[in-house]
Amino acid sequence: MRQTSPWVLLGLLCLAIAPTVSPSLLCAQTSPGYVIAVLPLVPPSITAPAGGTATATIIVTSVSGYTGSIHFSCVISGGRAPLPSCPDPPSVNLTSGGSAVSTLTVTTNNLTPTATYTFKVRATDANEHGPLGGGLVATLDVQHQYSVSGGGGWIAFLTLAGLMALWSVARLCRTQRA
Amino acid sequence: MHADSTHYIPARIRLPQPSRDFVCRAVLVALFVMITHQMKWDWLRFVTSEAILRISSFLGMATERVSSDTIRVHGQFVAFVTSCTFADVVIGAIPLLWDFRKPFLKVFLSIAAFAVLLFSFNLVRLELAQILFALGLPWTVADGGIGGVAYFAVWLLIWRYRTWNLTSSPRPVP
Repeated sequence: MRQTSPWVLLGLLCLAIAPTVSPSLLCAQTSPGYVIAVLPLVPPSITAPAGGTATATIIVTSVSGYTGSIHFSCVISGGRAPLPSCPDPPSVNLTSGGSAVSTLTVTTNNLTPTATYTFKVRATDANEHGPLGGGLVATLDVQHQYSVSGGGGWIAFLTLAGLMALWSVARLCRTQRA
Repeated sequence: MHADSTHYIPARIRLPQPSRDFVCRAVLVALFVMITHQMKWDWLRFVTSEAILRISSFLGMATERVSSDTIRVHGQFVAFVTSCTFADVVIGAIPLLWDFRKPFLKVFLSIAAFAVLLFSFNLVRLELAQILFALGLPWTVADGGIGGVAYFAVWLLIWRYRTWNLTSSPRPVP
C-alpha cells in the first residue's frame, strides 16, 4: 500500500484551514463601520447650586463607506445614589464618508451626593453593531462639587485647649487651697 | 564668726502619673474615634443636615437643600461631615463612660440616653453657629468657637459621671 507523505498531509491541512484564517491574515481592507470619539465633559465638574448640567460632544465618523443610523445609551457608575440623570444622547444618521455629532447631557439634582461618577457611552447601529475598535468607547468623570466653607477645626481645637487649660488651673488651685 | 547657714534642698516634684485605667480608656477612645471616621454615616449626616435646615427655616433664615449632605443657609454652603454629626464624640465617649461595676444592660441604656442627649445638644450648637454667622461672625469662628465650647461641655459631662481616676493617686472618684 502506498503511504502518503507527511508533507502532503500538511499541505492538505493548510488548504483546509486557509479559507478561515486568510481574511484576517491577508485581507488589509477595512470593512465598513464607524468610529466614535467623546470629548471631555464641559464643564468637567458640576458646582452648586444643584441642578448643574454638563455636556460632552460625541463625534461619529463613517469608515469605508458606512451609512446608517447610530443610537447611543448612557450608563452611569460610581458615586452613590441618587445618581445624576443621564438621558440617552440623540441618535445620528451617518452618510458615507461623513461625520455626525451628538451631545451627552449630565444633570444633577438636589439629592445628588458629592462624588465622582463615571459615564459610559455605548453606541450601536440598527444591526446592533458597535463602533470599530470596541463597544464601550468613553469614560467620563464628573465631580459634583460645592463651594463649601471648611469648618473651624483649628479654632475649635484652640478653644477646647484654652478651656481645658483654664479648667485644669482652676482645679489645681482648688486642690492646693484644700 | 560663722553664721549657721541652712541649705534648703527643694523636694523633688513628683508629677502625678495617669492611672492605668485612664490610659486604657484613652487608647480605646482614640481607636473608637478612628473607626467612627472610617464609616460614611450618610443617614446621620442627612438627618443632621435636615434638622438644621428645618430649624434654620423655622427661625426665618433662607435655606436650601443642595445635596444629601449639603445645605445652604443664609447664602452659606454647609457640608455635613462626620464631625458635624457628633458621631465621633458619642462613640468616643463610650470608653470613658462605661461602668464595669454595673450590669451591661443598665450601662448600655445609660449610654443610649447619653447619645440622644448629645445628638440633641449637637443640633443646638450647630444652630447656634448658624445664628452667629447670620449675625455677621465669620463662619470659621462661629463654627469653631461654638464647637470648642461644645466639646468642653461634653468633657465636663463625662468628668461628672466618670467612674475612673485620672491619676494613680488613690483619690476617690465622686
